[in-house]
Amino acid sequence: MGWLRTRFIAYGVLLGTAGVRILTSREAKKFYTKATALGMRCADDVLQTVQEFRENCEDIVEDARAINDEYYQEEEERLIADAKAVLEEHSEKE
Amino acid sequence: MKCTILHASEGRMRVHICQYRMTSDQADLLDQYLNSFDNIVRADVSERSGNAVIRYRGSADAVVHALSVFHYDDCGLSVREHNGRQLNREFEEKLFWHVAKRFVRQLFLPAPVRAAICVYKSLPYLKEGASLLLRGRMEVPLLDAVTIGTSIVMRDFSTASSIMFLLGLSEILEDYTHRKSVDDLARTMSLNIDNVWMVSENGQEVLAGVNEIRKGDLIVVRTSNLIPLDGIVESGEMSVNQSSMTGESAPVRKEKGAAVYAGTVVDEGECRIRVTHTAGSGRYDRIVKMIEESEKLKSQAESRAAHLADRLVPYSFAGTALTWLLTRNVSRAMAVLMVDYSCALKLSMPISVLSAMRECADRHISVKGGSFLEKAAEADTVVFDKTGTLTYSTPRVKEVIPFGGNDSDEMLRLAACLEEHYPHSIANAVVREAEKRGLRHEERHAKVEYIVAHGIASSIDGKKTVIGSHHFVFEDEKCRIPRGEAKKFRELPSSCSHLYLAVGGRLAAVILIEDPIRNESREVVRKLKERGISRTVMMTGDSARTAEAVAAEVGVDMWHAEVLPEDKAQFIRDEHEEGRTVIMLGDGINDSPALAEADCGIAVSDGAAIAREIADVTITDDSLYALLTFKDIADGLNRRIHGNYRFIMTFNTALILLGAFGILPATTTAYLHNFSTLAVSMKSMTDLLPEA
Repeated sequence: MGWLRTRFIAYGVLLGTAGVRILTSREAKKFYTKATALGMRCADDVLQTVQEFRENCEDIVEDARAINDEYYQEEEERLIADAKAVLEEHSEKE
Repeated sequence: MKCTILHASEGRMRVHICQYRMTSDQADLLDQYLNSFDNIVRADVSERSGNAVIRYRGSADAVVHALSVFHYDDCGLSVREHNGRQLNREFEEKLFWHVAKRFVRQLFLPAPVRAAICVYKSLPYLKEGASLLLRGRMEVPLLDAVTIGTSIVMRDFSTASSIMFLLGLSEILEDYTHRKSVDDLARTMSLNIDNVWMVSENGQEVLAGVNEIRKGDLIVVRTSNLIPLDGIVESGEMSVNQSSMTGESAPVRKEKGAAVYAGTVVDEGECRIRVTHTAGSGRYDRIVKMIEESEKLKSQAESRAAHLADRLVPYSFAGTALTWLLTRNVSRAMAVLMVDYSCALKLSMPISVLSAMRECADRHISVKGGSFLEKAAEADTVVFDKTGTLTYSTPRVKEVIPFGGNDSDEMLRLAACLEEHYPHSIANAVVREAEKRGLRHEERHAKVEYIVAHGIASSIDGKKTVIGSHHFVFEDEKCRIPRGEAKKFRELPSSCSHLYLAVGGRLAAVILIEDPIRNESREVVRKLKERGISRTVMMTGDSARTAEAVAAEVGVDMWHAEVLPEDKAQFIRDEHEEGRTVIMLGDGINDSPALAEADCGIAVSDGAAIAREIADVTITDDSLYALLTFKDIADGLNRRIHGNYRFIMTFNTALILLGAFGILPATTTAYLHNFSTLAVSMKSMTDLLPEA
């Protein structure tokens, strides 16, 4: 257990000296910049997908409405056709 | 421009613009272009997807053709400086990063690191809560701080971090909805283009749109005009009411070399001004400032809601303590603590009001503050001005009847010469008729004096010339009818308004003016009564004969004629004594005292600039139906606010009870509470009236 502790202390010292130097170097900064640029591209992609998804949903709603309109139209025509059929039957009987 | 049709249905098409990336500017140009067509009802362009969604009437081919001939470079349009796109992009990105960071943290970071980050992020909230506690105030941030603090102490880092996530999310959304509402409102309002008298190169005065004026141009402003642009006085003198800028209502004297500011009103006088700043973002910024300040004119309901929210905080704590005492179960107590009425109330109220104001602006009604919508909903009396409000603001000259042997055309020329400087609708009628008859004049008169609601006095060639109402010409100025023409005078038709012109104390002509009533006046008055206005009143400075005829036609409950401006204000004060709430509609300078006195003063836009400055609401639409729309929106807002209030109280009380009895765990109540808050707020942003 003592060795474990010592190891952690060693790691800490390493991080505090050489580690910090590496993490804040110019090369590291270039890496961070590229990573951020990648992150932003990723954000743009995601947001584009979200926008397209929203537009597609709108399309679906529109088509659904059109289908329903047609359906109601047909129902109404069927109702009228039925009513006409009943009337004709009635007048034939007379 | 190359595009592909992604989806087409009846009256709607979704089109992809074939280019790699679309910039915001390009999206704005395309948006303006598409929306300028009559057969296109609405076009939305998204630069993210590079798509345009177009709703149209008639044939799809016309729309396809419009798209095919469009090029960014030579469409002749320029990018609008404030078009809301940057705001949207900013917030989409903020939202994305907020959510993305949370997911990344949850998925990739080890538990101890997450715990440490959680504690670190909680510090600002705890600090805020502590400072409130030190000042002895129990407000909403204290509630948040306690919830987060107790979760951390109980080692429940996931609850604490999800609370902070939701709080952060609400903050972003709240900021977004607030800024978007203000932006939408300001954009709609800044589109109102005013006309300005400009002095052209050859010294002539021409009318130009305010957007056409360049730096260094010379413009003319007169009594009751709104100064449209910043500038320096070149010649003349005037007194200016700068209350819209500085708040002081005492008029300031301006002479050569003095600086004048856009948005102030000329009280009296006339000046030529050299423009130093053109119209543009200045106007937009001014409107944003005005809106932010009018937020101080919060409606009573809003301030009551904010107070209530804060007052409920101690009760939330009490409820939590009680639950813990009774059940000895900390997590149940926490479940109660998570639910607070306050953030829902504080968020949804302002959003409802701003959204209603934005909806009004979409329908050409500009409202200066939420309290006016509230008053309009409570109103039981409506007072109408006659000329320009119940009648079209374009009365017509029917005939000019000369007296004393004068020629009718000459008299009309004289009248036009005097009347052209004043923005009264009757003055405009005289000037138009003179133009129509091709009668031109040089400025032969000396200084022109305008006596409010009475008429105009001046001297021409040494003789005192007056033009105005019966009261002014015959009683105040004591003019006489030329001998032998008394009969002619008596036989003048009474169906029209009369404008009397007298030179040197003798009646020179009577100009007959017919003032056609708006087609919609009768119906609007009827529908107002249906909506609960128990008293409709017409007040006019015009003669009793014409007033009686108009009142009968329009169907108002009461009418008063030959009224002075102060009388109109007095009438409204009397109504207040009776405990009634009054809406006043007017358009002229002589309506200003009444508009200021009314609970909700509405100016019809064709009228004097000073009326529009003083009024609480301005209708730019040319039809009186806009008044009904305004009342409907006001009533709808009222219903929505009460509905929101009831929903928030019942839903959150239910959550509290469920949490207290252990049916729902703390995290669930927190989530449900926050999502219901967001849902109520989002719903409050929608339109109140169906799309007309």
